Amino acid sequence: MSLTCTGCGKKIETLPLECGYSLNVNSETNEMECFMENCGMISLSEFLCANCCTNRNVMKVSKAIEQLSMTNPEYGEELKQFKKNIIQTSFNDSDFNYWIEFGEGQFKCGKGIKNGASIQIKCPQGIMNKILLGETDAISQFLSGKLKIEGDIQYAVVYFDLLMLALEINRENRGELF
Amino acid sequence: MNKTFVWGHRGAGFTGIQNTIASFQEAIDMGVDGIKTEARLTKDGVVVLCFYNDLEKNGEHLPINQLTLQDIKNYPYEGNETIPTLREFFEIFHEYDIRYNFDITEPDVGIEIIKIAREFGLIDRVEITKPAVYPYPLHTIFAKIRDFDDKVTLINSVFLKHSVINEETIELEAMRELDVQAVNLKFDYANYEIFKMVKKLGFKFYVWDILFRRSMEKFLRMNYNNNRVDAIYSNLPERLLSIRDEIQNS
Repeated sequence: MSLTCTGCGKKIETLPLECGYSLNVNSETNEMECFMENCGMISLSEFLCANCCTNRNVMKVSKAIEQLSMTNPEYGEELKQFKKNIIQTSFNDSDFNYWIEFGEGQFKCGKGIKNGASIQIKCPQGIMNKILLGETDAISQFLSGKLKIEGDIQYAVVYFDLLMLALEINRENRGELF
Repeated sequence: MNKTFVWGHRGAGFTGIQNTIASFQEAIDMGVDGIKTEARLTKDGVVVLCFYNDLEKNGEHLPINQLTLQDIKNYPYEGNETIPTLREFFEIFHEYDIRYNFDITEPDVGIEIIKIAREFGLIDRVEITKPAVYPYPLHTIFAKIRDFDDKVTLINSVFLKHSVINEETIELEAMRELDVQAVNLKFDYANYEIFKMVKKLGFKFYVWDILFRRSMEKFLRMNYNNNRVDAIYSNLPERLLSIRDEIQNS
């Protein structure tokens, strides 16, 4: 059986024979679905390679924080404390790029490259994914040299502090926010 | 109970241009109890207050210790500001009732700070700090300074790679040998149990990088045997002062 990734179009080289998750039928779409951990429920008409799955999760968490900034008064208030900053993130093991703009009460994100970034972050995609899941902290990855920061380091630290705050608020809401 | 001491990080933190005379003045006008900054030695042996390890000169990045004071004064800062020297800093601010805290990365800077502080009669108000990104043992930075001055206040910012904070990672033995007075932790490495441990060991407890209201409230409310968190560094000192008034004045 040969599969291609719906995200990047590349051939998926390996397939789990037994992932331990069962297939379900989505009653709304009447399509078979499989639970793919970070990517959530995936329709069987869509297959993602590991790279695209990680990239999707990175954007999913970032979009959830964007949503949090608009719906959670505490988070919105914290974002008012900082001037506007644009962070451009790229992965050194994938051609995926995304940007974050935070400050002046807002948090926005998007795929690709945004002009005017004052901070550049470069790291393997798995490291950023772990940071966004709260499984590792950015400062120790920075000190170990796996995560590179160019530009205003102080505001890069603010960005990572804001990520931690979002994770903390999400935990307090029993993971219901993202 | 003493109030928690508020340090203005690089002056007024994120307000204005950090580590400039204008920012230090703004922090004092806000009502901070002290100013925390970074000190480095120029090629010609002058102590300057600057966060950056190196500055750009003719398209080349050069370490501050390879630049003269003249080079540094010519460095274009935003808003026509210049990088101040320690002597300029003390000349302008020595009459204010504040303390001074300097991050250093080599012992010789600390010794120069002590010499200048003695000239101004400010040595009792000076604290010298090992930064949290400094990976070497306390003795490498503080032994020479302690030999030179047996009273100056020394602060240990625990290295950021230590995910567990205990007697070993705070270098308890070295802290006692060198008479280091305080343990300084990044806010997300600190909690009540560590605060209690540090106070029981007889040291002051400092916390840095506090920005968010919930973190400010958490650390300003901490109390162990009528001891509060001794000091907090913040890039939002005005906010911290306001929340301290709400919590510790009531």
